[in-house]
Amino acid sequence: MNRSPARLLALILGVALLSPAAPAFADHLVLEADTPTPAESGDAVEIEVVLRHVETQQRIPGGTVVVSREATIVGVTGEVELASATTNEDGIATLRWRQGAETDHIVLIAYATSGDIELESTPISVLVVGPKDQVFRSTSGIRIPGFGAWVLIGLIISVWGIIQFALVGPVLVASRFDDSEEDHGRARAFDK
Amino acid sequence: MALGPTGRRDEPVESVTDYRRRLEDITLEPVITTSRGYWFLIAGLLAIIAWGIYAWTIQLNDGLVVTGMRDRISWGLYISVFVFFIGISHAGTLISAILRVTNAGWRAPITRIAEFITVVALICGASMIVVDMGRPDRLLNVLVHGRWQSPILWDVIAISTYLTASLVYLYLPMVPDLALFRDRLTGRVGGWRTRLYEILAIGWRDLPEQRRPLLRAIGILMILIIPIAVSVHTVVSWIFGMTLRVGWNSTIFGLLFVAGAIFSGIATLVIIMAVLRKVYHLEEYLTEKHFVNLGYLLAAFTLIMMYINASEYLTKGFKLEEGEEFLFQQLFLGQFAGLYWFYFIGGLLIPGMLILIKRTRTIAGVVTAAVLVDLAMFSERYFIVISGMRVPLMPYEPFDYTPTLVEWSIFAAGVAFFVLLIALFVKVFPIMAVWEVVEERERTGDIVDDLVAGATPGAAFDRGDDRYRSREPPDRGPS
Repeated sequence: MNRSPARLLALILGVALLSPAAPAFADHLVLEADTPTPAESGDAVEIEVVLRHVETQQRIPGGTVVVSREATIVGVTGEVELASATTNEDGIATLRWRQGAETDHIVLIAYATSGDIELESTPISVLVVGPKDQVFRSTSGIRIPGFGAWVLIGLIISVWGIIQFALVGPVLVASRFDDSEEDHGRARAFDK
Repeated sequence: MALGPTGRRDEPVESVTDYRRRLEDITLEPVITTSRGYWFLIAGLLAIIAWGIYAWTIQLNDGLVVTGMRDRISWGLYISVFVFFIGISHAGTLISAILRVTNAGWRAPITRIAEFITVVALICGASMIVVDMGRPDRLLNVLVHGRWQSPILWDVIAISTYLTASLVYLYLPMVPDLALFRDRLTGRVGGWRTRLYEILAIGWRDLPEQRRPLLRAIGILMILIIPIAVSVHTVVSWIFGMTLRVGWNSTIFGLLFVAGAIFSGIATLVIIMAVLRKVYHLEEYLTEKHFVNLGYLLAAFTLIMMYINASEYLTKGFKLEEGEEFLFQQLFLGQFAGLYWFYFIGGLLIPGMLILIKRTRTIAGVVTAAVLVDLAMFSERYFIVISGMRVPLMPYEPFDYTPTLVEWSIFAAGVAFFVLLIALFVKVFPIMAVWEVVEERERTGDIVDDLVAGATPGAAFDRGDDRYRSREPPDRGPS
C-alpha cells in the first residue's frame, strides 16, 4: 500500500498550479493568501490572508476566513476545519494551525460571503517537508503533588511488611514451644 | 442435623476423633503409598519437560528466529501462556480468600488445593516470561535498570508480591497439618521428609497460645491477598492497556483480565479437584455440592464475561475507528473467527447452559463445563495477544503468526511442569486442610464430641467397625 508516488504527484501539481498566490474570487471580494514556506511536521503553519474588494481594492475588516482540508475518515469524505480567523481593520486575518504528519496538504482558504454558512474557497498548497518527530508529545505525564514513585515504593514496602509480619508472628510464637520428645512419643503412641 | 459418616440419617453419629482419624488416614495415604501409575505419570511429565528444555536450548542457540515471532508480531504463544497461567493462579488464593472472608464453610476441603494451584501457576507463568526473552541472561536488568514508570516493572513487583503472599497464605494454614505429618509419618517416610516436616511444623502442638497468632495471621492475609490478587491481573492487563495498540487500548482491560482470571481459575480448580477426587478417593470430602457450588460461580462468571465483552466491543464498534474495523474483521470473520466463536459459544454459552440446566448440573457436567472454559480462556488469551499485534501500525501488510514446533514444545513443557509440581505436592504435603475440615464438620453438627457420641478416642477403629474398614480400599490407584 505505497501511496508515496500519488502524494508526490499531488504535491507537485498543487504547488505548480497554485503557487505563488491563490486569489479567491467571489462576486465582490477577493481573498489573497501567500503560499506558506515549507513547514515541518508538527510545526505551526501560519498564513496571512488579505480580504479585498474586487473593484475598489479596498480591504474588508470583520470578515471570517476559514482554512480547511479535505479528509476521509472511516470511508466518509468531508471538510475538516483547521482554523478560522477574523480580518482586522486592515483586512488581514492570520490563520494558524498545527500541521499533521502527512507530507503534502492541499488546504482550502475560504471566507463567508454572507453569514457563516456559504463559503467561497480557493485551494492552496502547504508543503510539509517530513516528519520531524511525533506530532504531539506530552510532558512526562500529569504531575500530582505527592504522587510519584515514592508512593508506589511506600505501598510496596507496606504490603511486604504486612506479609512478613503475618508470617513471622505465628512462627516465632509457635517456635517458643519446643517440640519435645515427649510429644513425639505421645503422638506415636496414639498412632499405634 | 447430625448425620453418619456416609450421610445417612439412620447411621450412628460419628465422633470428632473417629472422623479426624479417618480424614487423617485419607490425607496421609498419598504420601505413604506410591503406585506404579504415579511413577509412569512422573516419567511421562519429565520426558515432556526434557523435550521442552531441548527446544529451549535450540532457541537459545539460534535466537527467537526459530519461533514464529518477528518484529511485527513480537508477542506470541509464550505471552499468551503467561497470561493464561497468571489467570488460573486466581484459582486458589483469591477464591480461597474470598470464601474464607465470606465464611463459606464448604470451602474447607478445597482451599489447600486451590492455594497450591496459585503458587504453581505463578511459577509456571513467570517461567514463560523467561522463555520469551531472547536474552534471559539479562533478566535481572529488569530490577537493576528498571524504571518505576514502566508497567513491566510494576508487573514484576505485583507477581513477586502475589507469589510471596500466596506462599505464606499456603503455608500458614498448613502448619497444623504439617505437625500432623510430623507426628504420624516419623519413621514411615524417608529421612529428608521427616526432617522437612519437623522444620516446617515449627514446633506446632496445637496450643491455644499457638493458635491465636496463627488465626490472626491467616485473617490478615486473607484480607490483604484479595487486593493483591486483583492488582496482579490488573497490572498484567496494563502491559497491554498502556499501549496505543488497537484491541489493547482499553480502559476496561483490567476488569476483563481479572474476571477472566477468576473464571479460568475456578475452572482449573474444578478440573484438578475432579482428578484428585478420582485418584485419591476423596468422594466423601469433595462432594457434588462442592462442584455444583463452584459451578454456580462459573455460571455467574460466564454472564460477567459476556457483559464485559459486550461492553468492550460495543463501545469500540460504535465508534469504529479505522484500526478497530480491521480488528473486528479478523476477530469475528477472519483469521481469528474460529477461536473467537469457540470462546464465545464453547467457553461462555455452553458451560453456562450446562450448569444452569438442572439435568446437567452434576459433577460430570460441571467438569465438562470447566474443561471447555479453560480451553476457551486459553483461546481468548491467544487471540487477544495476537490479534492486537496483527493490526498494522504503519502502512504495511499484516503479518501472519503461527507458533513453531519449538514454541509448541516449550508450551507443552510448561503445562507438564504445572502438572508435575502438583503431582509432587500431593506426594509431600497434605492435600486437604484436616483441621479446617474437622472444625467445619463440628460447626455444622455433622460430627459430635467424643463423649456425646459415646465413644472413646478411636473407639470406632478399636471396635473394628466395618464401616471404617470398608473405607480403606484395597487399591487406591496411582498415588
